Amino acid sequence: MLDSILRGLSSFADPVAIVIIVLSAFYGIFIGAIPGLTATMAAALLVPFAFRLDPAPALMAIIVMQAMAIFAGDIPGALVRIPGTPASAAYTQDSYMLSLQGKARLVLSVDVIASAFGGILGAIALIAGASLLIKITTKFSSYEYFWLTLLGLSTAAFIATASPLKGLVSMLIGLLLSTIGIEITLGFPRFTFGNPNLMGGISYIPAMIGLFGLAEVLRNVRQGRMHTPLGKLERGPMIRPALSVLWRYRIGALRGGLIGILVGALPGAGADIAAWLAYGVAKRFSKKPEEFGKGSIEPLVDAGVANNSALAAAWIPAVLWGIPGDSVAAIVIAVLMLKGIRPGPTIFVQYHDVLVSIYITFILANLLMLPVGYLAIKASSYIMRTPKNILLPIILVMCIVGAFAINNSIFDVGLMLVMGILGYILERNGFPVAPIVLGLVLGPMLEQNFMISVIKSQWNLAEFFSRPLSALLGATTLLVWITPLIIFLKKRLLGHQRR
Amino acid sequence: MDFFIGLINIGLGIYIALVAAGFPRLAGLEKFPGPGLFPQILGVLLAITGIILVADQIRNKAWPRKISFLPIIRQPEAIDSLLVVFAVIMYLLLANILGFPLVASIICSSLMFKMGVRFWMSILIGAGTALVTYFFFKHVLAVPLPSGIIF
Repeated sequence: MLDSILRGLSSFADPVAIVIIVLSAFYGIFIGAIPGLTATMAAALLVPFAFRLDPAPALMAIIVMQAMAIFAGDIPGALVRIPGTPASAAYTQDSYMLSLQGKARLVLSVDVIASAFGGILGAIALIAGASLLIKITTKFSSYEYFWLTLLGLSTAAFIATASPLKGLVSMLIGLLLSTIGIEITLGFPRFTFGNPNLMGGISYIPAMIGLFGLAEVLRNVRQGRMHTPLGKLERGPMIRPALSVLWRYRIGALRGGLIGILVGALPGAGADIAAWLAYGVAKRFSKKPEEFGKGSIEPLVDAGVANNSALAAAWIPAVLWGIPGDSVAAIVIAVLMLKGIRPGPTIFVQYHDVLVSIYITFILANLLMLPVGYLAIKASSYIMRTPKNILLPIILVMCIVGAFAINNSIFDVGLMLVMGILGYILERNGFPVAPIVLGLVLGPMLEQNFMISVIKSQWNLAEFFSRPLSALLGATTLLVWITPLIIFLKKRLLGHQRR
Repeated sequence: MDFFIGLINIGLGIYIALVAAGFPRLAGLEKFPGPGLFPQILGVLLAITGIILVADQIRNKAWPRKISFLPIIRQPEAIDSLLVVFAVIMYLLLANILGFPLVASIICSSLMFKMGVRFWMSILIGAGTALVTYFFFKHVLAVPLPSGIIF
């Protein structure tokens, strides 16, 4: 135990690790601050690099990058009302309104402090919570896994989206895509149409680069205004006013942190959902809810803490069960598997030193966020001046390279293209893209546990609820399904009555 | 657009469910579900969502009366996004023949130029990006990007 802690610590003594952490920090700020580039895309683009590194530095890069990106997404949100990452979308309106009142610097300083605070809370949850949850993990059977996976998928499809029906469609698309390839029980090729490239199934990293990266490029190009730069900042003190805001709304901050941890740990729901939920709860409990949306600094605290605390928490199910807490965690699982590290209880025994490095990195990343974040705020004025017409073609080339590099396969580039177009068209019509990815990633796990459970119980569906945990998870999942259904039916019936 | 997506869902869902119904089972153990079960369920659900989407559109009398692509073609931004797609297709076709550095430079520079970057800037940044990426991946990461028949 002690020597794995020492080994975990020693990975930071390596100068390469320090360089990686610093580079990842700036990479994360860069990606987060550019609207249209998401932390998920940044993580997906990091995978070819991560492939060549040792496990600990590879994960350090992703952790630091994501922490910085989720903070940096607040910058363009405040300055030009375009959230840099979806996680900042919840409070973009309030940030922008405050900027118009000349308080941009205060807004961004609060964002930095809230993000760092949230990140530390998340890290504590990861360190403490992981050891607590490990006891529950060993009690999971195929029924629990099935419900848990379905719950994760359903949360992303039904709760996080404007239209549960469209979320369901996205989820189904993702799940169906995951069935392509040679299936494990009989070795039977499903939906491969004789194409050898499809025998292994749809590789989810190129698909993700397409759905998030290429689709974003297309969306940004479609919006036009190619010469536009992005914004500028006012002068003034930053640290003390921000701290006093955090203190004033300290209860909201803790509440946001808790929401972030719970939502982040929930498979399928990540920083963006955490931020929205925290915003909603903050509005419910605020003394001045009418100011929300018009330039209240309160939601920045709640939601800013929530989206960063969700990051570390998303690693809890990822590391313990191999179920991603959010899309970056999905990429992390891919990296872990690439390194031969299987997520699960064994990780605590065999790779405890890697875990310790992860814990330390989370804390380090959030402490680092304070100086780096402030540098970022100052530097962001320069970055934001790069016009879209230079940036987007470069991003496109990066998408092509990233999609190719995973399997050295040009087919994957084609896959990226198809998924990019699909993602663009779907999102344009109100269909969320995240459930597609989640379906693609979790599909095999869902199907496998479903099949095992069905075979075990011999189609006696009551068995799916026979154990306490599976009953709880099953009931929660059914609730998540039934609630939108009831709302849906109510709308129908009321609609009929009005006629 | 929802209307078409709904129709596609119905068609696709039914197609998938039918194809999956034909998937084999373990010989002698027909009562055990086979590889077809999961896709069948998904296909049926997809078709149902399609029906709801189409029904919604019909109820709101929002089905498309006329389909025309003309307004889209007139918008330069739409042309730009089509060009992005075209650029990737060009990459797919030409990368193995002409090699990554050349194809990526052309793609990057032409897109920049089309979107308004000055000519020499486009060439410089486009070629620069392609070359830096190529050498970085090849020599630092040991990932060989296509070098093409010509080189």
